[in-house]
Amino acid sequence: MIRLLNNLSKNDVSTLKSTMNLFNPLIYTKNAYSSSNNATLNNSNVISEAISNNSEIEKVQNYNNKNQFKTLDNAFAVVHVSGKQYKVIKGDVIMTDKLHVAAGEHIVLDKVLLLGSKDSTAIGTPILDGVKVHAFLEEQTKAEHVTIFKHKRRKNYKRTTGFTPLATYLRIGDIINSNENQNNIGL
Amino acid sequence: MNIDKIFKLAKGFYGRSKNCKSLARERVEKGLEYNYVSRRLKKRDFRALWIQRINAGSRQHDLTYNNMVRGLTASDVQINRKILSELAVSEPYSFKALTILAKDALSKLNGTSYKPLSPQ
Repeated sequence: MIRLLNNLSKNDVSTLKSTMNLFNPLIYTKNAYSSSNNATLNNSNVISEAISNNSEIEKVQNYNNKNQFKTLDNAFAVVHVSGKQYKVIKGDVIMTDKLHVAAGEHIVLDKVLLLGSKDSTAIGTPILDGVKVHAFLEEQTKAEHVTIFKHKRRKNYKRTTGFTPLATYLRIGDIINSNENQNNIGL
Repeated sequence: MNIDKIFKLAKGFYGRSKNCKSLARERVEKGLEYNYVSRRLKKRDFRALWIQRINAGSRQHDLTYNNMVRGLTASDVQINRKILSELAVSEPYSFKALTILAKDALSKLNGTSYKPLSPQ
């Protein structure tokens, strides 16, 4: 991984090759570019306003303490989930592909490509070692329905089908950094 | 399709195309054909937009789009264009860090003649 302080000149670049983890898939997402439907849900009173329950805080803290991680305040991360990338901060809700996890579960996203804060950014080559993102599954629903209509003019050919993809909504929790990594990344 | 569904899809259409059965059916079917094609075009359009934004952002830091992408792939960074354009818009310091990384990688590539844009 590579750590660069903001406002730094070219001469101050220091590069550290990270130990390449095999891409170990945990949770994966699909982002649609259409922003209009990202906020709507079938049961729209379910989305919380980034208020985490006590149980969620406990789960996060248990994970952090067991594996010696430290939470980062005021940081954003670029996360790679199911073939798509998202720029997330704490409290975000993102719509992804269907994940085979029950609703309400606690998830840790492993593939973090970039980590940025006010003072510095850490760029992973290609992923950052030891940086993870907590997430909670909000809901497993259907995404926007699509009508597939095929038509050839003057040939009496017309076909109509429909398709509703499945989606999950993930509420992003803390962004964490392992204690060993602190010196390397400096965040 | 059911005529009620056709009228529901024909909301906002011009003139009698939202009120009369045969006209509405024609216009709605054309709209759905455009929709089918545009779902494929949307992917191309967004990629072109992201590339324009990355180009503009990198030129502020004395790099062209092609050199930036060369540098990033040479240094094994796999951030995609969607996120790079978002960073160029909303996280300028992180984007600058990426340009520094790209320039560093370019200078180490064999056989490159990377010339900075502005005279130094």
